[in-house]
Amino acid sequence: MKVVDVWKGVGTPKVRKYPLTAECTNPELVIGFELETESCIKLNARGYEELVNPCNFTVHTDGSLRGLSYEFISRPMRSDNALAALKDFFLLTQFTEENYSDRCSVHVHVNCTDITLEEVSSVALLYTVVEELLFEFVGGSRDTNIYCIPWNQCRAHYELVSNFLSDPSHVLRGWNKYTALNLIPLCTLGTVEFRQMHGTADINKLTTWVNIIGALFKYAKAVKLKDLIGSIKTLNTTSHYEMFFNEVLGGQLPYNEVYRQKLEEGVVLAKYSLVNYSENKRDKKSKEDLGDTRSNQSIYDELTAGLFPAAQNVGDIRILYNDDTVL
Amino acid sequence: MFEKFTSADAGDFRQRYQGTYGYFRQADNKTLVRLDKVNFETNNKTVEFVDEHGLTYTLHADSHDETVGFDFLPPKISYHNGENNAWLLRRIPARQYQRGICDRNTSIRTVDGIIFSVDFAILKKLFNNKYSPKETFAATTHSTKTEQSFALSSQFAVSLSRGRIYCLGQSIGQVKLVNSDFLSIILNDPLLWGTEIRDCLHRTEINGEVK
Repeated sequence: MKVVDVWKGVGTPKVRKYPLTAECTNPELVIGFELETESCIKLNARGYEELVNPCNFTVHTDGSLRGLSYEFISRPMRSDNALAALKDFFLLTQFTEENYSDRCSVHVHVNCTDITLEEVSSVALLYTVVEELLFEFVGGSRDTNIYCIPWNQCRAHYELVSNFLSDPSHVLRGWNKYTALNLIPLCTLGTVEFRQMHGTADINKLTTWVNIIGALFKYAKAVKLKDLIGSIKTLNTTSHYEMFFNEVLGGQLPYNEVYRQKLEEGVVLAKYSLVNYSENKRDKKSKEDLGDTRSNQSIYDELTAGLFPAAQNVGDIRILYNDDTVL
Repeated sequence: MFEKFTSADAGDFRQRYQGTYGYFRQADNKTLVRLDKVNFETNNKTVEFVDEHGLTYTLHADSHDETVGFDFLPPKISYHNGENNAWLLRRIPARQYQRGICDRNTSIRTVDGIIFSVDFAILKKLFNNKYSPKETFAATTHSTKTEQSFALSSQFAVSLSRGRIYCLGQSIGQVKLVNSDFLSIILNDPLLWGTEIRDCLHRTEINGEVK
């Protein structure tokens, strides 16, 4: 089932053309930019609107920015057109790094109306694997920014694939906009929004960023979800990691020790998100073997009876059981 | 994560850090503090920190000393070993306004699930005192406390008291202690986790078998 079939209000985007193209990994992927920009002192909003309109950008105000600031939003374009338009945008506006404080971000919306829920799930799973690696590439401590919180820090990825496939609307209702990969626009614009990138006028970095995103979508469309899950589950050796990295992101980023470590962490996080997807009967059996029959109430009674010195020594006890544990 | 306090960004500083914990830093000295107040609407913009003894520190904006500032603690999901048990620290999934650790955005619980308030006592245990997995494992096997747990890595932990091995709070298998220093681990899905757990045992030099 495609995204447009799930959320009926979402239409396919009107893709704008641009006379120039730039080389990229996934030229057909339709994307849009949101460029939060400060110190826009050369023109007023109308002036900027006239200046950037030929590049398929529009000008908006943004309350989260300071001083003379605007958010420049592009119309949907193929990636090869969008990157060429972005290059021209910076040539015309002459924005530099001075225009991008740590309040500013570059958000990339990716059209998902033409892909299936399974393919969106594949993107989400791939993203889980490479999230830490993407933050490493972006740099600038963006993983601590409160407007692009990594999935792995708020467990957004946990059981995401199975939940998304069974009830996608429910997943989006509980989603937090300020996660690094925001899924909420799926039900409004038919897009997902990559929010990691800090504000920058560095066209080379932005091109690599778009290429990385393009590579994720390309791989997600080429490999079936079932096969992707299978290969993630069996990823556990250094050579496997390198092969997977090259298959997904080959040519975009160099495979080095830092990225290898991030990938290794990401694989564990992806496996963690799939724990119940792959749950088999061994858990129940081994639980019976251990005779693990303690209830929440019995543990609560034990703790409130003061039998837990570690807790007493350190701080308040508020809630008394690990709700993640499968009992 | 070091942050200078400047008058230009005092408002942002307040939004990000007021009420959070971190280190007040000057040169090589750092003190665990709570950032209580940012005075950002006056000409004399200041930050007030308080340490675990209630001592207040005041930092003026735009200090010429480049080494003075606030080292905030990001609430990155991770297990931490203590003297004889381990904790899982993680961000509470909700819209976040604060960048450093505070009670509103951070959950701290033991491996067995006991939740603690974010305060000086627990943060000192998590961040000031570092214990290796092997040290905490050895200590917890001799501990008389109800909870006996230790972290194998930032992502895996073992509760001997509950006979479980966890990945970030999720049970992934059973554990038994054999002869007080050998772990017998039976994973729910050996294909999924086998290599990672064997690697953990190897790296931490803890004796055990994984099935």
